[in-house]
Amino acid sequence: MLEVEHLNAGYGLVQVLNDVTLSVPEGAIVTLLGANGAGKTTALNTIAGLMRPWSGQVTFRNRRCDALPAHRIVRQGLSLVAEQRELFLSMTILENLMLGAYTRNDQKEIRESLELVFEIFPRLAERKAQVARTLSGGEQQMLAIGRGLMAKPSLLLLDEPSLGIAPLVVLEIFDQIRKINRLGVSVFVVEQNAKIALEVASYGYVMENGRITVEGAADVLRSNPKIQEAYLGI
Amino acid sequence: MNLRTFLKTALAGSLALATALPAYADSTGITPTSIKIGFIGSLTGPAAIWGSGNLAGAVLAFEQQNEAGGINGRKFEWVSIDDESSAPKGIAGFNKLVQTEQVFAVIGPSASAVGVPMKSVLASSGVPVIIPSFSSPDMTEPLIKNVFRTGTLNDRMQGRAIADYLVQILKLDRVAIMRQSDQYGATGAGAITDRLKELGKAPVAVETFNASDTDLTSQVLHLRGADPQAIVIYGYPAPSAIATRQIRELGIKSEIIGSSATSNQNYPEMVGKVGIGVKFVAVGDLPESDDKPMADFRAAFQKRYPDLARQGRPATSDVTGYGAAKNVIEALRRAGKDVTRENFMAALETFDGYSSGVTMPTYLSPTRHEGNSQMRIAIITPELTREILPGAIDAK
Amino acid sequence: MDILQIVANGVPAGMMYGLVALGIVLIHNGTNVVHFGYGEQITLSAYIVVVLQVIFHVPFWLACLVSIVLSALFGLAIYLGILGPLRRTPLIVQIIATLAIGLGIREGLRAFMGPDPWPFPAIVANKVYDVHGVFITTANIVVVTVSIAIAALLFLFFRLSRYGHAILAACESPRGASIVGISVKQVSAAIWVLASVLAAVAALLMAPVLTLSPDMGLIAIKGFCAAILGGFVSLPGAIVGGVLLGLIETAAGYYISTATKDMVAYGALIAMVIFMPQGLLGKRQIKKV
Repeated sequence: MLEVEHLNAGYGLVQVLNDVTLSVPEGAIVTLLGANGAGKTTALNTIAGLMRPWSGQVTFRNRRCDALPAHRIVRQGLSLVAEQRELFLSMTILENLMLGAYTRNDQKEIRESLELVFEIFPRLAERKAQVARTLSGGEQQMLAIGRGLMAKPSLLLLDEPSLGIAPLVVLEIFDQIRKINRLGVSVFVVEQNAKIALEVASYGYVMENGRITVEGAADVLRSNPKIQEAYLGI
Repeated sequence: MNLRTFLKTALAGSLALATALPAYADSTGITPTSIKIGFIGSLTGPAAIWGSGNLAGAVLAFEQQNEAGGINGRKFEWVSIDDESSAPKGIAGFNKLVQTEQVFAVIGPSASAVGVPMKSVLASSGVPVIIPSFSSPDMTEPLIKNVFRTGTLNDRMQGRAIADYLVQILKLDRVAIMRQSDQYGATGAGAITDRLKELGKAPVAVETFNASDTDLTSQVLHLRGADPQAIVIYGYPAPSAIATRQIRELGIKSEIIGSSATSNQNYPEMVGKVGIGVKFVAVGDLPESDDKPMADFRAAFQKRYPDLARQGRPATSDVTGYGAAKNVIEALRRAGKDVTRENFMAALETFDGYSSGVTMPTYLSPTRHEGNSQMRIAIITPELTREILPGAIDAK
Repeated sequence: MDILQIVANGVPAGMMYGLVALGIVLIHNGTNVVHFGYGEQITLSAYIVVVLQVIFHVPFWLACLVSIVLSALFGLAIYLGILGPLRRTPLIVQIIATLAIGLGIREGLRAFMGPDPWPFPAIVANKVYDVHGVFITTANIVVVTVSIAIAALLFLFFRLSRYGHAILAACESPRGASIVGISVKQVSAAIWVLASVLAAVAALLMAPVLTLSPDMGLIAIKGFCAAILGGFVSLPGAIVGGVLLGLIETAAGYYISTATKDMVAYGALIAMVIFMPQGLLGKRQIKKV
């Protein structure tokens, strides 16, 4: 469904991504692991159109999208939940969610999506009139994911959903990610927390210094001694 | 010869040389076939309202003279410099005219805010300077040997004449003043107040406003509280128009008289219907007048400057610029073939009522460099046009 | 009785400051740029009406409409031609660009339209009503009603409409807006167009009252004060700040002295910045606009 081939990208003169090739099959949860600063977020931002790649190809559902700006890529069914969450903090939960559906017009379908989001994240439903700024980190993450879902994506890109969130809430969020996947949304999740990521994902990539160094099925990666040592703390 | 006597001799020698200098005939800017005149004035910035007209009018006069064969076999050449409504740029521009361009005489500057700070530079240059329009008395009182004004009556004389008009001709007692907060308004209002005192009266209220003010309610309410029979507005056209409107809108029915700065062709329409009957000081004939010399000037001006004609020009500043250049031409004529700066200035000092046809007659003498000595009053008619009232008031 | 007159005149005078502040705040919120040429954009719109009327003999109402359209296009041109390309330059560069735009317009108008003031027709024939000794002019009534209506419309647009929300979202988090599908460039362009339309409407209200000259845009200095008093981020705050400034000026001029009225007004401004830096309506910054 998502094919990334020989992607090079960076900031100014500094190259960050080096010949990155990866793919996300329809219906799967795929994870991209790596240490802080390995280039994972750059990869995600480039795929989502926030950054222009220097070279290489991004194909989504058989259509090239590496030349499109972010606001056009959303309309192709590819929704990014950014690392900084990029919420509209002065607005309410409901207003944030409704803006998530900015690309859609059918009010009935939008309402259905909203109900779905509230079903997955009951905490958001309880506080829909609350201003985003006043939410806890976990709740803000849920809101960011919920807003991403409101675009009715076929692929959800998640950037470090566990970042800065209490361990119990992390479990809750990954449960919800699994739930979302079961509803037919493919997920590509970037994580530092390899343990939990490899539990939900079926396939994984490891990135070091902007290159993919290892890839494989999740259970194979889990038993790879190098990965155990470097990312799983075993 | 010891050192002391040497110094004495040297001193005496240089003194003799120095005193001999004025006799040295200065004909900078004059060639057998040409006379080079400099123009310094505000072509951009807030004072452009005067400067651009001064230049347009002066250029027209020189062009007409050149077409008529020039003066004493010489054609006019001119260089103009924009002071951007700023005194430092005015000084730099004037120095450039004198030192680099080597002009014979200079017309300008065009606004008090630029001209007054230039005073010492103008004076020390020794170059004849003819001021077409701005009205600060500082330039002529006390007299500066090489600085002459042909245009607008100065603010001290204008203020006195306004007071005379209100008290002696209209027989009014209760005069209030609404003045701009700068030097222009201060000088005019001061002169009115001084003259009222000489006449045994005092202004019933003096209010100030800034040239950029957009609402003058508080000032006008103060004026209303003083119940004046006449209000003199001493300021630039835009704030004066606002003041006039608000005075009427807040129910004051007194006489209103504006200073010469409000002698602007668009003023009646700027003020609108409430301005009917409002008076103002005219510095000469109105540019829209049908008198022959003015009608000729207007036709020539509009032919020469179709773009300006579209803007409703000629305006008063065009007329004063034209008048200044006409005065220069006449003085050159009187100075004769062997013209120098000295005999040019001496020729100017012989003017005893020379009339350019469109400005007030010029009276100059070795003891007087203020050319204008009369004030006329104009009024806004019910058709929102302007009309000069009969009679002129002598200004002292 | 005079106190009532002070209110009756101070409020409309302040509304005009508020109108200028509205445009400034709008552009600042939407693009982070403080537009120092906004006053001149207002002046330009008024001159367009004069040019159409006096030179091309277009009827007044049509001239007003054309001026609004041209002003919108001009705003778009400023964005596409100048501030859009400068988007990634330091803020100071963008601010200097706006100053240059203002200066260019002002001196351009002086060169092509002459330095003299131009008469400008009133939208509604000016009449003065004497209400028990308080004089009220139609011009002032029009200024007050139209200003309130514009502020209310803008407020509702941003609160209730989808596109209004999208603009707010883009102002608050440009990346967040991009990833939900909002084109930030389009939003910036829309803001410039909106603010420029506002400038044209403000021009129609102000020019007959303030006297149209190339320097009319200098009223923007008061507009900035009004914007700061209102917190610089709030649209209703801009109008409230303007009215407050108008009232302070008029009251200070009347009760203290006219020479000090600007001092008192700017003093109030400085006090506001020191003691209430968030401005009058900026306290609970729930909405950025």
